[in-house]
Amino acid sequence: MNSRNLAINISLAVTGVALWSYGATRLSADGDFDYRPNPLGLKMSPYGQVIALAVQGGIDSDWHGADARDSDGKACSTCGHHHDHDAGEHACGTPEKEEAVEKSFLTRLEGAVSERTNPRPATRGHKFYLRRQVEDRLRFAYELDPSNYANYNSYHLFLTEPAVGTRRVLTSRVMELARLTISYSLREESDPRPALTAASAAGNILELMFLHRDHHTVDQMREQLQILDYALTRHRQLAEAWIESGDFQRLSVARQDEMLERLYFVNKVREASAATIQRLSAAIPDQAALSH
Amino acid sequence: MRLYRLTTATLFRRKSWVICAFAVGVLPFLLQYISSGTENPALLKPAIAQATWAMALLSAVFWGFFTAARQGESNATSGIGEYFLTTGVSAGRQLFEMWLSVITFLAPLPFIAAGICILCASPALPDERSMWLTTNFQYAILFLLVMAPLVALAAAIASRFGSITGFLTSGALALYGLYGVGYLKLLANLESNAVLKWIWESSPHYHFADPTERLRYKLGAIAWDKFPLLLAYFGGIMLVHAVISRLVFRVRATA
Repeated sequence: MNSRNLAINISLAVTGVALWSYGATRLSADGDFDYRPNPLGLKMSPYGQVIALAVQGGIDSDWHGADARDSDGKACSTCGHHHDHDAGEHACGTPEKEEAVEKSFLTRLEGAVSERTNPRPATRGHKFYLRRQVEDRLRFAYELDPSNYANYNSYHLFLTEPAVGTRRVLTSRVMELARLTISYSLREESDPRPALTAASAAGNILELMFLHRDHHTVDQMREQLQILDYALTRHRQLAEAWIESGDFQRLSVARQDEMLERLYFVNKVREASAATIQRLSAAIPDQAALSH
Repeated sequence: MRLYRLTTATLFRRKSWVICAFAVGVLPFLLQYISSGTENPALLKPAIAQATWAMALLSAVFWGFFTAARQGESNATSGIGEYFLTTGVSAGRQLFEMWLSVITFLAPLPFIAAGICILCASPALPDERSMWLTTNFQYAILFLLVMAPLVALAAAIASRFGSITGFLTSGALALYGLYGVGYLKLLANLESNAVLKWIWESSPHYHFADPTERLRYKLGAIAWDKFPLLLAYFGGIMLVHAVISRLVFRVRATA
């Protein structure tokens, strides 16, 4: 290397390292280095919402894979789910003749490759592994779209129900997740469905408060009920605006029905929660009277 | 600039740049139909903005680095580098001309992405629209500052170790700087390990050049008192990569 090249390289290296170090020190001091990676910005994006829906298919397979010991391992050829023996052959409500006629070649092929032929049931360790896979996928799906009703509520179930969840999580963390879901979902300004997820999350917090009533006052529960009511009101406002603008018709009939079913369910949860709060607030003066 | 003209003509005739132009300029308008914007029209514009920047990034990593690596390798193995050396074009000059040629094709991509964001995915409010314009141009500049030195690095490493190594080195560095440093912070307990913390702090934090989050939440343009700091940071990384590239690059296959 001649002296000219050496001088150029040294000066470039010294200047580069100085600028890099200066920039890094200043940016690090301002806390700009801390961030949550989000490859291609997919999480919480319009594409992330679609992928979150697609992930549900894999979750379904793993869930039934873990469940296979309870049935003969064959999925229903019509709806793709595994029905209990008690529920009968046609729990999905498809008439037998119609099923026989519509069974296409591809459906039969799908049945052939997904049928369980292993006579041994899955071991406890295997089932645990599959449940953990489901839990991880649910967390991934939740991160992609925290406002998705099914993904949030399924993940919540895994965190709170020891029979299905594989990791013990403190109630405070589950409540924190619900609060994050509420604040994220209520940011939506056109789609009415995230507000339903927020209402459902508020209902979940109330349920946890009822379970651990020693740690929560009735006033805190009433406050939470107000949040649930606010989310439901927001849902109604956005739904009316959507119906007026015609955007509601963009949803498929199945999605429209799904939204109405969820609204019905959340309303039932709301009524039950209000009744419980009323019962608890009525019980408190009685307890106070007894203690005196 | 004969090597520049030769490389540019070669790349132009190969026509693979058409894929990048299609990916950045057309694909976002098709991809919006597989986004949730089909159910919620308010998300159509964000879907376009996200897709066009994502495509610019993927094009730079996959097409830009691979093309640079391929040119770097063929320059050393085909004898072209040696020929130009005998005509008085130094190794450093050859690297610069090849780099400039790849950049000629790569530089329009962030500006196409910024143009699509401004023309087709602008916010409705006038004050937000002006911020949107500034944000997009700021990120177009940062995008180039990040990608340009990695193009040179891909060509230089490929000239010595082959095109696959050149492509993978620059690609891995870009992905590490964009996402890897974030995962390193999440997975490793940095506070208790001084070495890991030093590695993390001195890693190239390319995520500052990723506009996705800033555009999605309409956070506005990067403050003008901070933008020069980012230019200095990425400028420093560029100079360091330039030196490494100059040292590694060679014009003939045998030493």
